[in-house]
Amino acid sequence: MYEKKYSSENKDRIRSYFFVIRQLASREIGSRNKGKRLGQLWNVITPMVSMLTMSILFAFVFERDFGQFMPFVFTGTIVFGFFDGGMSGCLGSLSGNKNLMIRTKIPRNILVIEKLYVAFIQMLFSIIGYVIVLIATGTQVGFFAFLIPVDVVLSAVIILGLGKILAVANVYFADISYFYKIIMRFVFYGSAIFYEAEILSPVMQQIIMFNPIYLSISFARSCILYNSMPAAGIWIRLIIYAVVVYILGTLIFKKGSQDVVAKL
Amino acid sequence: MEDDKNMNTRSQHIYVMRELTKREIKRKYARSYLGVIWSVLFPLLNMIVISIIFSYVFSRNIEKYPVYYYTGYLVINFFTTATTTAMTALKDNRNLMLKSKLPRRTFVLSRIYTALVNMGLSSIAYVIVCIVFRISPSWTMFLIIPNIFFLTLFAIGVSYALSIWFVFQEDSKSIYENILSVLTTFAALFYSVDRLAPGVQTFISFNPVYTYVHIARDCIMYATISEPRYWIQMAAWGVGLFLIGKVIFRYKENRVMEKL
Repeated sequence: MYEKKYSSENKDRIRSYFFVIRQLASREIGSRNKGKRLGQLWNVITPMVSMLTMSILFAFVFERDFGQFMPFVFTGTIVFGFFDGGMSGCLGSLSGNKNLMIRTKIPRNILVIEKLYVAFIQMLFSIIGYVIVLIATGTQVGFFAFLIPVDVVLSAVIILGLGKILAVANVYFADISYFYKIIMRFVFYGSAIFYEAEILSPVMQQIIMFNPIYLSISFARSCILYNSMPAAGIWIRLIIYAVVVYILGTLIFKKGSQDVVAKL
Repeated sequence: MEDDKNMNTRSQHIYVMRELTKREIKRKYARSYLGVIWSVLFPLLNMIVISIIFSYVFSRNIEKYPVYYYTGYLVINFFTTATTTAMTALKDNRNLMLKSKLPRRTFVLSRIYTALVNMGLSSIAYVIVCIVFRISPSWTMFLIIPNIFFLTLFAIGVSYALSIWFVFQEDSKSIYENILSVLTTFAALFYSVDRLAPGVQTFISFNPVYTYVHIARDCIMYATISEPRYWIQMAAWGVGLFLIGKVIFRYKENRVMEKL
């Protein structure tokens, strides 16, 4: 039985990996929603509530039209949620799966990809709320919205790259999870989620252009809300980010994830 | 004799609570190198981060922005940690509760106590920040004591109710998460209230979490005594929620055991 599996085609192996990822993901999502009557519906409600509170608060402060401001904020919170959900999942993907790694021969890669997959599913639920908001506010979505999958793929690659680095780092240095929280706080407020980047100090405006989450958010805003091509600078930066981070992450992961079990 | 015995069991319970708290703090920092130092460092780094981003945006109408933020952070973080950790206290300690005769509230209270200890540790860096930003000492600083006292009462009451609710309904966690996000977003953590819409200002002024933040800032940063309505709210939210929570806990705690 086992031999057959190992001698089978590469294609089959990849298919079985996908199966494992789906299994792990559905187990994880299931345990998260265990006993909840509304279950997955919370993944639609919670992002909506946080978007609404932020919009109510800051539409007035920054003198924005509420109807336009809601989708503006929501684009930001959803993209941020995807990044944060994915990366914090990856962060614990090795250190939290000690038993699984000891007992099975599961490729380490799969543990990281599974976390990305869970974050992606969660994002799909918040997108349901997003579509409702777009319709309710009468936002016209045009041709350029078709570029969104590109943004999602680039973001996913960045998440995976950074996630791999985080996963390995967390095994050797557990304090990384605190640093992660601090940095993400910085990134949350520094991603222009509820304000335009122009209000920041000139120095911060320079810094924010190096923040991949901000880049991804502003990519999504141009194509969905403004129906325009994202600026060349954003494209270039995002692609460079994705390539560099992914290569770096894969290298570090290959080296670092070997004797992980012994370290844990 | 009776009194003596009573005293004895009470001190026993306090001992247990302390041990539970120790365990919790140890567990929290189990794998970390810096350990408890994080309790000091975390809020400090947080403050630095927020100040770097926002001092330019909001500094025009908030003086000593880092202190402003830090004060709010300590209050809000205490309330958030205390209530969210206490919410699951009964469920988490199910086995211990079934085996021992400890009063059930001990488990809830130990989570609150942990959050208090944590806030105490975070205050070390707070004092330094206050000194750096030349917050001049004033007698009004003593007013922080009743403020924290009522804040704790408020947190205990809310936690009593939440811990019971969580046993009966798992959705409660998501519901409370959303309520908490509204309460803390409208608590003027990193922005000033003056620039908000009038309706939102009124809403914030009734927010219990904001009440405690406001009084803390007034008595420490501005050396003034807050308006009487905030003092009334402070006491009313504290005592009110404490009583409500206590009543709920008393009437439902036996059914909790059946449910668990």
